[in-house]
Amino acid sequence: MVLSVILFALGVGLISLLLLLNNQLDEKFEKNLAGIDLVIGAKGSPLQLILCNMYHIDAPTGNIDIADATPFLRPGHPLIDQAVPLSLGDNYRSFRIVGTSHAFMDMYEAKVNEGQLFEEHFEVTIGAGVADVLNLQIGDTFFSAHGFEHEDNLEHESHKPFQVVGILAPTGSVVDQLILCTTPTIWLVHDHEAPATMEEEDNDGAHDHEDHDHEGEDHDHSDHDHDHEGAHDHELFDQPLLSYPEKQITSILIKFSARNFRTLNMQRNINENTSLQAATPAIEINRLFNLMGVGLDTLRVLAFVIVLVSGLSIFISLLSSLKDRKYELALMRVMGASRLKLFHLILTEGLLIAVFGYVVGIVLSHVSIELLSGYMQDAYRYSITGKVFLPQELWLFGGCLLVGLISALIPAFQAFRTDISETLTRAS
Amino acid sequence: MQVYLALHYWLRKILIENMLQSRGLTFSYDKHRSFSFPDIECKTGEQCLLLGESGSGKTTLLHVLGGLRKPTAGSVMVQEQDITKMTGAALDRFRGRHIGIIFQQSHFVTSLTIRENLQLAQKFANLPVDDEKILQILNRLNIGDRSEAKPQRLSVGEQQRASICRALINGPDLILADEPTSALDDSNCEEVVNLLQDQAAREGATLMIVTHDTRLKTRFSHQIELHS
Repeated sequence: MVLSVILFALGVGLISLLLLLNNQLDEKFEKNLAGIDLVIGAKGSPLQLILCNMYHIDAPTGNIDIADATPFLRPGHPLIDQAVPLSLGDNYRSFRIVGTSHAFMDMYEAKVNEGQLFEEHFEVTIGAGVADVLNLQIGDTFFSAHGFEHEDNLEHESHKPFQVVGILAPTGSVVDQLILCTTPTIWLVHDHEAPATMEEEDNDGAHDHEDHDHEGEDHDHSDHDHDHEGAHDHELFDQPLLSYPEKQITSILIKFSARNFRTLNMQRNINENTSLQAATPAIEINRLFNLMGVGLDTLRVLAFVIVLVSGLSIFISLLSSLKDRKYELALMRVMGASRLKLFHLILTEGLLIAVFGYVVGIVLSHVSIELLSGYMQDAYRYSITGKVFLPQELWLFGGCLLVGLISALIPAFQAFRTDISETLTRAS
Repeated sequence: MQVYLALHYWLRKILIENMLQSRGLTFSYDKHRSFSFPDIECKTGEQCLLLGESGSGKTTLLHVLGGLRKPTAGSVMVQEQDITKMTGAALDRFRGRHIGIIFQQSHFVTSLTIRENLQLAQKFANLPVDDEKILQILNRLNIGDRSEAKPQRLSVGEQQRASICRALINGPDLILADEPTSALDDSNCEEVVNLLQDQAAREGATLMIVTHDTRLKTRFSHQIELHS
């Protein structure tokens, strides 16, 4: 009996776990698509480009010169409705700092909940998740660290500290996990730190060095005050982005005004004729899901097999316990119980096992999702929760009752047919 | 209460002359194994002994009389109702209400306590659960202190008494006992027969013991012999 319940719980737990994961990941991926049609960045893996710049999981493919990006960033492109520059490369306690423009907020439909959007360099507006986890409030200041993983010794203290000026309302998208600032902020952080520039993998860095040499200061971290003053005075970056063609960004997120063959041509053109790379999020994510889908499908089949096997185990355990209890059942008949009563009794037993198994399985899956969510948050910047219940889980309950009922049907029928006299004679 | 019970037994006695009456009973398992039984008549409140060698079909007869098995031919009247004509749930209900059966070996629902086993008997007979009555009967048979024990924790003698309690709990009109003494030594045999006779008389129930145990011969005036 206990074995049947455990087996049943495992099957149900696995199915519900897959449902929850699938549902929440789908939802997140959907949300993070945010209507973005094209991502333009440095050459490399298109999937990496998407994962890095839209889901903020992977490392960047590299940087692109604003000079090259100018055609897409300049207003008035006939095909482009919205283009948002992104600059990556820093983190604060492993939350990514993204240099961008206010249009980013429009793209993800993010609203300011408290305070305001960043205006000046080194002002940041943070996602709801960041504020929550790091317990940051408006007016708080911090120093960023290089790269995407939090490491104390990579912290830049050589620049002006970031200051929180606003907190966004929760969106359910990746924006919740980001720290947003102006694009030049990222330049300023890195410009006076020649060796640790934005992107190590695609670091032409030459101009950074030049900038730095002009300061004539040594770039030791301990001298941060001097350093920072120098850098700040040197370049104010108070002009629009396009005025700095020699500077770099990581990527551009693009929304087309309409999707047609010309937009397709534009993507092909970029990939074939420029040093840039353009990737379509929907296609890349589909590719990823197709790759992952094999695994998910296998797990799903496995879960259903487990439920079927546990149904079989209910059947077997009921049938074998029936053999032991045949005499008890005959006894109940002697005491006045009808055939139908015994039939009900065994059916109820099967159903109870199914219900117990279901409850244990659901608790198991939701608790493990809750436990998993901490890890997911750290590793993939995804907040998932075990505190939601899906309508499919109600269907699952119905399915479980059905499995319990069917498994108990034959044993119940056997109980129904028990011949009292025969059983009593044989046993005594 | 005592007055009411006395009135009830008296009424039953004058209204129903024969508690148990069988006519022309035959039973065949197959072509080679068939029994034909003598006609039986037990007056209300009477205590009868049905004696037979093993293989004479004693147990089969008891099952037929208790409505656990349908005879091939003939009729069994309990309380002047033909139970061979009853079917399904009606027969089960009748059995639960009016007939108490004690088997040679005591069997219980092992996952329940003695008290719960007796409650079950009340529930299956569609009677209200009456814990007071259960304890009263258990006490009367000196196993009141075992009411919360699981059946398998009881000694064989205690189990036998508990199964007598179960047969009595619903105040049956007819008590059928199948070889209640054959496994017992002389003194225990004596005690169990005393118990059965006393309790049946107290409940005003008709008692029929089916046995091959000849020690019981001296205790019953009404005896029926089965021949194979």
